[in-house]
Amino acid sequence: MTRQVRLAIMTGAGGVGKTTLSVNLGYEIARRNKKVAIFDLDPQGSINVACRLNKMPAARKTTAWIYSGFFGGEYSLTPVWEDNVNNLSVFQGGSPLFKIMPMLAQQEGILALRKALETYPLKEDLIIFDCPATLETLPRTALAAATHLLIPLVPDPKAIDGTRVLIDWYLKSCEEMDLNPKPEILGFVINNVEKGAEHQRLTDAIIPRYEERGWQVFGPIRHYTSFVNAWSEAVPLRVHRTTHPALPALEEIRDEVIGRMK
Amino acid sequence: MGRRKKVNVDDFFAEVDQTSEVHTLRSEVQTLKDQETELRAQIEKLKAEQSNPEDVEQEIQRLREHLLESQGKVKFPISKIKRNENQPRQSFTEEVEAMKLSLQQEGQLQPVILFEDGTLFDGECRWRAAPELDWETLDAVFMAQLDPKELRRKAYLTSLHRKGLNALDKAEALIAIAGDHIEALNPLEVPKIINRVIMRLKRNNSALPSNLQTQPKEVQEKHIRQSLQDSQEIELFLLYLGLQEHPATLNRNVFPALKLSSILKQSVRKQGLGCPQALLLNRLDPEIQRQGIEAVLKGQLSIAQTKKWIKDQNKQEGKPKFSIVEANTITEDDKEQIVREATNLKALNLEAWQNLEVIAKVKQVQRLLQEIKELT
Ligand SMILES: Nc1ncnc2c1ncn2[C@@H]1O[C@H](COP(=O)(O)OP(=O)(O)OP(=O)(O)O)[C@@H](O)[C@H]1O
Ligand SMILES: [Mg+2]
Repeated sequence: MTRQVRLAIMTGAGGVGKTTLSVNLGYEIARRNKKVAIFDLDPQGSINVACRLNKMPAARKTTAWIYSGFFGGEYSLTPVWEDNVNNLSVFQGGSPLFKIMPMLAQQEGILALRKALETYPLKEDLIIFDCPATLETLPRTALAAATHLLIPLVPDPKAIDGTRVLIDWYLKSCEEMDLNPKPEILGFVINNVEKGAEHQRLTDAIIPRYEERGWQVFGPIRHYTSFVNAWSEAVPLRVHRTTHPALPALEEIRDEVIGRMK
Repeated sequence: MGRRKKVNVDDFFAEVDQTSEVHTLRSEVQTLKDQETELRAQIEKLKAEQSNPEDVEQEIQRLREHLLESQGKVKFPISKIKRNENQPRQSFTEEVEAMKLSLQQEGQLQPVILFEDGTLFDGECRWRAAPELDWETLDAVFMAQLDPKELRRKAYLTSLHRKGLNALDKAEALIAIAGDHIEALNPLEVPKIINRVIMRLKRNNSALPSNLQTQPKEVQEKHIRQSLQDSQEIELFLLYLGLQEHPATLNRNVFPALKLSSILKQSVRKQGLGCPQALLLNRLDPEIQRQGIEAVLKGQLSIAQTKKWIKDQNKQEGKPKFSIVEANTITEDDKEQIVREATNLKALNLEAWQNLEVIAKVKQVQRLLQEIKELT
């Protein structure tokens, strides 16, 4: 028996690699014969680009449907990268999520995702929630439904401070929603580290500080053009380059997540 | 220009620690309250089942110990203790006599347990016996004492010794605390009240000592009661001094943050824009505020650099849109300049003044001069 892990990938800053991490981590874990679904909770719907899916799915085929009040277990999971793995799927997000935001003003709406997964459980070993960058209601629904959090950040002052805001938000939201136990912070992923001295200095400075506080740090993953190229080709990094210096960091996170399934 | 100081990540982490601490404190309090609720439920249950009085007594003892441990006891005036109307027993004579003896000989061994409003939960004998010995207070512990208001004050105190709180968060927390603790006070009025009092004290040459916030409570009380009359003002000042905040400092450095525009507030909260810089930018048009935020964050501008940026903006725009008070003193030069400019204007003929824009400005100057006259 394995325990389902529901991993919310969130940040306090935009463009730090949440979606990149969601799809690549999803792929890495699916390759280990685990069943993985990625829920795109971002109205931007960037996963549609990352996996080259239809950009305008009907609203009821997107994650927005979960919040519609009509959801009856219709998870529209589209298999992706079937040439390489056969147990990875995506529940598409995108603009319909804008429309359901008013529903999230109430506590009932905030708990909709959690309720859905309790009432209509999925057999997946791992569900990844790819969240939008702003700490508003959609990430809150993910927080309520998640068992674990993974927090990518770029080593710049804005993103570092974003993690401070996120931690505050996390503690406050858990308290307000009375989440017991709180979703566990799996760790921070330092991503997209550029060669410049300041990125290097900040990376070196923050790693021990997170660790001192009992948080695991993955990476650092450097800035590689391959990530952009892989997006362009709409394939995971490992398919784009079978060996790549960023893969060990992804494997480290993969093993940590798989460890949580037992 | 010298080397600019790079961001110190310890600042972020100090704030992380501080918020975590407040949340831990809050959940600890919650746990204590839960334990208390459980113990109380147990007592109610035993009582309802008409269990052996000794069992009930034992359970009450556990609750008392729990309360002592979680909050400590206080000396509470006997006159303010109220009898619990739900107490079924009416006659206490014998026990009261015995208790009187015990109190006299051994003192009060166990604190009484009170509800928040002073109603007795346990300890009726002690309460009846003590006045007969002319006691005025009893040691007491309270149930459900730590309400959210108290929590807010405590949370503020625990975060006080860290530098993490920015002026905006501080100001908002402080006015909320005032609203919690002072009856019939509109929290939004707090900055005005503080400013009014500080100004009045200054006019009367009776400003508060600068280190009053670190003085013992009695010293604070003495000063405040000497300087102020209005009971609400007194309460407010004592509350803040009790939080180790000096009202004059709040007035100067903290409360002004409440007047920031919403984009500046957001930037202070989410992007780490410094409050002093934000206050400078607050005087600009919203359009330019946005540019200012970007410039300050990108260049990590100091206060002086921010002022300079605003000045440079002025130059570029041709005519000044805004001004910054550079220093807080007026020099002879300043005085002369004002008189000189005014004299120059006198040389213009009246026609040159008849332009709508000029008229508006002149009226403004007239008003300002009047105000200055009143102030000096
Ligand atoms: N390590 C890296 N090296 C180079 N480019 C990267 C790296 N990580 C992410 N990127 C690129 O950065 C961009 C933003 O990444 P991504 O979309 O994953 O971030 P996000 O956090 O999901 O953004 P959003 O906040 O918009 O949802 C993408 O173009 C991606 O290819
Ligand atoms: Mg994204």
